[in-house]
Amino acid sequence: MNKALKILKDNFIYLAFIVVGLLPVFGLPNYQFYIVERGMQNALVVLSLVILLGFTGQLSLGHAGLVAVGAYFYAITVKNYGFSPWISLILAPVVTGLVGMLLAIPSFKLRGPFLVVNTIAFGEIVRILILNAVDFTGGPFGLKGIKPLFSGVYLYYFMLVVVLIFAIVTLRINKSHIGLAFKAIRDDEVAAEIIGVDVKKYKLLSFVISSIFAGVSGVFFANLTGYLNPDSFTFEISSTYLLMVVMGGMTSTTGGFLSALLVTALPEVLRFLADYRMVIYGLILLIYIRFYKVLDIKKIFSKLNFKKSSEVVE
Amino acid sequence: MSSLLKVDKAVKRFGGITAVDGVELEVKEGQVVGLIGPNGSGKTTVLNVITGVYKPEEGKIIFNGEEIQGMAPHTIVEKGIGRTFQNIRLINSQTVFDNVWLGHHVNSKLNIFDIILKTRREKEELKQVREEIEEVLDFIGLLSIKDEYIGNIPYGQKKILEIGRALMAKPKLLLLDEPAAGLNNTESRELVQIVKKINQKGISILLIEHEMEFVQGLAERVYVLDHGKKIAEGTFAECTNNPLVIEAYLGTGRGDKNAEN
Repeated sequence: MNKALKILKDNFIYLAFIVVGLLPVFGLPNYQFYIVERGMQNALVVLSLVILLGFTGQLSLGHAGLVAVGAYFYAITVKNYGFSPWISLILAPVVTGLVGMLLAIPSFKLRGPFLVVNTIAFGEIVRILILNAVDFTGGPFGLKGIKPLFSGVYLYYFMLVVVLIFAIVTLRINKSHIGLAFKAIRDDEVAAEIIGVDVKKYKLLSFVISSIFAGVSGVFFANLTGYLNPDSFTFEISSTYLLMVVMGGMTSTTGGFLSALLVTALPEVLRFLADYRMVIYGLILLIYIRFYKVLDIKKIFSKLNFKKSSEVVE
Repeated sequence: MSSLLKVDKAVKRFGGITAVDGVELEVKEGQVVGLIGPNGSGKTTVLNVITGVYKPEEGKIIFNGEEIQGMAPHTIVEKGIGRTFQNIRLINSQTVFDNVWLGHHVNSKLNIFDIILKTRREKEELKQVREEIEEVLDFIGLLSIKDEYIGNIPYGQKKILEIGRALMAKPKLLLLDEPAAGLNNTESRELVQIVKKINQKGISILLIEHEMEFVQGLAERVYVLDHGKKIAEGTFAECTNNPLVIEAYLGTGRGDKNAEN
């Protein structure tokens, strides 16, 4: 019994992906299908925050800005400059990674709330730049008719595979000495430095990896909607990402993936409540936070009472 | 024996206070050196100056023939100086095994792509690291609790674990900041044995303590600090008989101003 549980625990992430992968087989209506796709796109941002916030302890409330950089880079290069969508898919995360590198520099000096304010400012600057650079971005009118990578169910499976790859990357970083260095920075920055962790280098690395994830998410956003508008990248969206990562248990990859799907779907599921929708949505989240960490897979399995595996080196 | 570490007239000031005032000390290869002094005499500051936490305003720190003052702490660890902390600084959210693993960080040759792609290089290094970690844990006698989380292990074991973590970086010189503070007699005796064993491996040790008894059994050479200045050096017996040292620890006994107030 224990052995079966252990196998289930170690491979829970794959189980979650198989379930999501089987959804189209049951023939979801278009709109619900779209919500699951948006959930996967959000899951990428959540994984990005798992690395940045969960592992490294750097709270960013400007991730919508990074997603916007990825989305707009893809849209502008494909639409205005006639790039192949595939080349833009590769280039957009690279550009977002470079922007993330710049965002990392203040984190060398700033801590806690000061860093948070800095990331909020970053998010707002990106949004306002997009709003005003009308020639490139279409400003408040947005960009229409962006060519997608695939259409329909192919895009769905392509996204699923990409999210799975990024989830595996997150898991591997978690179990590596780099993940350990990230956590050392989160728990005690000074001690980490004195033990031999190059704190600046690893903060930079964490921001860059996180931004690359967010950039890919942006490309998917552009693919899904086919239309970009600065209103999709507000501070409110950034805080929703934060909500998702906290609900997922901060450091849990599987938890983050599932919570991204659930938090994205919840307001839509509650649509039948009409005017009371957001009230009930808030209430559900409150109740959830009260019984915190229900989605943290590690915690659930440890409650099932078998020995915690600390096989960090495989 | 050649000189491994040389602190040459280091000065460190905090505003108007001179915490380290022209301290000179030397650790030779294979030596155990004690640095003692009353509370607030600047022992830990000397250690922080050596490990790069503070940059000295004046003077030089020479390690292995190279000036290291002003280098970043992680670079100094790479050069071969390991340390432990007076107040334990382990990563509480991780296990004993992981904390020791973190000590290996400076020696790791893997980059992020090795980890993402799970290359053969990664598998080989991890296998080797795992053996090394178990060896170190066995050496310090904590192998049986390798999967415990830091929060669940007693204070004495945490102190020893910090030494294990420092050993994983394969240092040439180990700086121990009050390793015996807060330990009971049994633990303290065990610690003496471990320190001796580390020294037998050829690792030099700079030991900071204000417990005289602990230093007595270990250090070949002792430096005494008071108010940031070196007031004595020599063997343990020479230092403890030095009138300046006795004064620093016990006061002069003639008309102490504080006693009258």
